[in-house]
Amino acid sequence: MSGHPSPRSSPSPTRRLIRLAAADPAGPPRRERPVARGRTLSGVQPRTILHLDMDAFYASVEVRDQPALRGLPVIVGGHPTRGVVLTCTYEARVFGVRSAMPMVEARRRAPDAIVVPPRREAYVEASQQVFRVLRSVTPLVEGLSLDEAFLDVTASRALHGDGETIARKLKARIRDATRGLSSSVGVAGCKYVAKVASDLRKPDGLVLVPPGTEVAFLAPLKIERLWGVGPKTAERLHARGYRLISDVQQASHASLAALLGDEGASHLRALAVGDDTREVDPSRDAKSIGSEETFDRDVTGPTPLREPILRHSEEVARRLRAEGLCARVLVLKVKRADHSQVTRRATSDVPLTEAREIHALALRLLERVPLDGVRTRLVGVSAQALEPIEPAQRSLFEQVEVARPRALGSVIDAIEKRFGRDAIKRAGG
Amino acid sequence: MDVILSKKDLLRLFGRTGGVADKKSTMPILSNVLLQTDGSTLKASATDLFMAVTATAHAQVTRQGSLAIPAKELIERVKAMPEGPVQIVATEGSTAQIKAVGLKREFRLRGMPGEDFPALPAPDPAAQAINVLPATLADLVTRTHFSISADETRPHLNSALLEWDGETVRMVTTDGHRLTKYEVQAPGTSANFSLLIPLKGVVELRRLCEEARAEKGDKEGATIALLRGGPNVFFRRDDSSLAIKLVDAQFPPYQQVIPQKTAHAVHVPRTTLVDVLKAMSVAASERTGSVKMTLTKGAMRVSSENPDSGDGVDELAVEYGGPDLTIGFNVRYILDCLGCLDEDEVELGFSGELDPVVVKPVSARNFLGIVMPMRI
Repeated sequence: MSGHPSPRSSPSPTRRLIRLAAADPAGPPRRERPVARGRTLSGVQPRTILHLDMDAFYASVEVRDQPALRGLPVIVGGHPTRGVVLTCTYEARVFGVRSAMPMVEARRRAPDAIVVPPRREAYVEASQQVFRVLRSVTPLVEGLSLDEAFLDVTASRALHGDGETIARKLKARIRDATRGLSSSVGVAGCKYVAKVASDLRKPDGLVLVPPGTEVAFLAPLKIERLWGVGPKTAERLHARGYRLISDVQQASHASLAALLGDEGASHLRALAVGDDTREVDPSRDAKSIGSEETFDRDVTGPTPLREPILRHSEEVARRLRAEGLCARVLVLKVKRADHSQVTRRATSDVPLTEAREIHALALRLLERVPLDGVRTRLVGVSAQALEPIEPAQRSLFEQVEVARPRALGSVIDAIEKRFGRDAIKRAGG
Repeated sequence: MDVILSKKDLLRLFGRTGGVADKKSTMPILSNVLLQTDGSTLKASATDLFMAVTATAHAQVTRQGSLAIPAKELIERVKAMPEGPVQIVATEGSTAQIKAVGLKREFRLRGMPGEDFPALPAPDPAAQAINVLPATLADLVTRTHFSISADETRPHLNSALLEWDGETVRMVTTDGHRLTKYEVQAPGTSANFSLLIPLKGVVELRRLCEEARAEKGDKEGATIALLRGGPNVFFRRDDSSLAIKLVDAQFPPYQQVIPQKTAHAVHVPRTTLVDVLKAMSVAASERTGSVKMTLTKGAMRVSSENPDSGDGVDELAVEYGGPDLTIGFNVRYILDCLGCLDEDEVELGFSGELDPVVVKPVSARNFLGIVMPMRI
């Protein structure tokens, strides 16, 4: 047994780092790392954390299934003029195409790239194959998305060999299970360093950061690699001459605190030396399943949104089913023409699985968005607080009147409880 | 009370009634069998207040009377008697004296006064009996009982619907995941009603019918009479009767969930399909019992998978020209349907991966099994 306490009981990892630091306003003395929760009492067993990331996942699946695409710049993306790049092959990255880049920009940079529409089912299937391999080594697998996961293999080493051996095995077995997809793995003593490591030698990379070498490993990397350093923070740090993580490692707490505040400085200094005590949390799989679209042309008022909401409800239901999940929370997202965004959410007592239920709830959420005369460019539905469906057995009478009012009723009750009596009314009632 | 009858007859009486006597009841009297004389017969009764069973046998009655005797203990003592006549005498303090006639073996067993036993229900004196062959009732139960829900907190599903529609008798059962409907003709009867018989009652009814068939076969005259009375239904044969308190609940609107037609149908030899499904059930997850059926041009593939151990696959040649279709279901549900049939060929009707599967014999139209799929 690993001796890990229940992951659910641990407070937010970032907060924990901050709290430990805040107990000593002068900053913790360097190298006296706080004892991570979950270490053995002897305190000597370092953890072995793997971060595994599939290489250009969607695009690799497409190339695998259409061998004619091999070696070509391929972009998996949505709408040609208003969508974004979901992912692209390394051949397309040469042209500067990146994930989340607007399609228009991507096509400008790589006019000859082949654009493939996403096939979610194929990615889900490959993802399930990948996760089955990961879970064969340890149950401590925290999925971050379809193609990315943390593994805590500390307790698996006795059986499966050291971190490097496990990483090599996983890569080979994933290649077999998915008929040729490659992955990159980082092996380290904490999540943060493992994640940075897996990204360094993509594709098909394997980067080891043995315990004790974190400081040297991180030192030459750019400060943008530190979690929490976005473009704005980076700009402020650059202005003071901080470019590499080594600059942060050498900086005093006070000088960083002057820029980022006390908590921010402690957080950054801890990360810069690879001090990340967060545990791999297997219960954190798949945070949400959503479907949305950006319209070709902005639409006005709520009515034109109803049909797209139905389609996205169906898509969300289909993907929930495909992954064997149901949702407790539904979120409706509307982006206005001026790019301002409104979301409305509802919690349901009844696990949501059916398109009909999701659609009905989404439409009720839509009524709560002030949209009269407002122009909208995007609408989306997303299911959250996901749980496995147990059991998967379908019921005979779920569509028959006797069973319906109770299920729908409790959703309405839940909304009323949350938003008040007028928040929800039966359509046409 | 002073009676003599053979050990064999006594065991038959107590065999029928002992199962209904309620050992766990808070009313001690309910764990007893009530013995009553009536002319030259001995009547044994037991009830759990939801059901009552009575059986009679010819006896040599020396003194009329009644006595309630703990069922389990009484049966043990009668079993311990040598073959031959056994005498049961009510003695002082409601104690039964159980003696092997002409021998020295004797037990004394404390009972309770017969008058303390709850009054047993009786049919309306004016009730019209419907006479039906035991085989007919037995068939109805055999072909539908397996899909009765075992959940006693849902009485409307924890029961079988018995419908009489002119000369047609129908039994429908469902546990919410599957539904079974079977109907037969009962010539010479004419009635119009529907009853909800609780699962326990269905089990007892089946036993009554099986006994009747075992003793008399399906000969003329060996009928069972169905009678109504208050909240109860009565099934009577010559020497025993069963009273069942009906379920006062609304059976689900089953007609609404029976598909009018299915998009695709395949015909399969029943025993072959049973063999394939049983084989694949070995590799299915024990928790869900889920098996996958994939229809492709000319073939039905049956596969199962257990994430912890491995998988299995088999294939049957079928006449099928529709689009590829994969559907998952609890293999036991289909096997239950196939197991109660004796026809050689069955038809499986499919529409979509989440739509009900319809199972029926190709040569008969009176059986219908509906199984809801599992999400896979």
